[in-house]
Amino acid sequence: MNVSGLLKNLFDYQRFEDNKRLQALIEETENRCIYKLSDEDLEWVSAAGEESDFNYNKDDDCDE
Amino acid sequence: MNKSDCGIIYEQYRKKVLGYVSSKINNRSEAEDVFQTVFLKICKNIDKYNPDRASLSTWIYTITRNTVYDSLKRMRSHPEVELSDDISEQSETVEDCAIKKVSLETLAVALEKLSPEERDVIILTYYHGKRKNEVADILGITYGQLRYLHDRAIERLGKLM
Repeated sequence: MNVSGLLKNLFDYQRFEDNKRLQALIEETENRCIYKLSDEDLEWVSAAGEESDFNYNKDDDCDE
Repeated sequence: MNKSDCGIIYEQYRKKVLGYVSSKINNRSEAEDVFQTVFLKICKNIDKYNPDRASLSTWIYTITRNTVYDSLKRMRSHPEVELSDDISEQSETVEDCAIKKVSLETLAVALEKLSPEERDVIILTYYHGKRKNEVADILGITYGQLRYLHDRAIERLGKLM
């Protein structure tokens, strides 16, 4: 896998794992570019930490 | 691990799964379905999880990513559902993902060694998925300057990682 492919995969994984050190660098870039990034680009800055009213019933999912 | 661990896993990983799914699927109803499907799959297959192959986080990420990918493929036939990401890449195996938990920190350390401009190019291109002409516009530089910064950053990261 070349460097570009590796970066794409790692940044995708970052959207899940939310490494704090890496996220700080991402937010630094977003703050520098804030006037040029769309609202949608910036929408996920803190998405991982936001509560949701997604409903998930832990009790009704484990039957074979 | 077994099915009795499902509740604990849900509490530990729901924010990560939510964050990832929400970043990929703009349609709230579909995102909610995918979110629930992920945890159904986790619970159904937890008995098969092998810690020798990958960390639990990597395993859950793989399930999440593949479920999102499958959903995006289905939604391609429904243009009214808004997609937020390119789905051209294939689903990954757990082995493909195994190195990533360590590598995120490695990536952060490597990015810190780049200049701010090089770092912006990399993050805008590979995290935000912007095309090169869009990155050049955001940074207020020419396309040629962007290509130079990008190629230099890639070369440096290749040596640092």
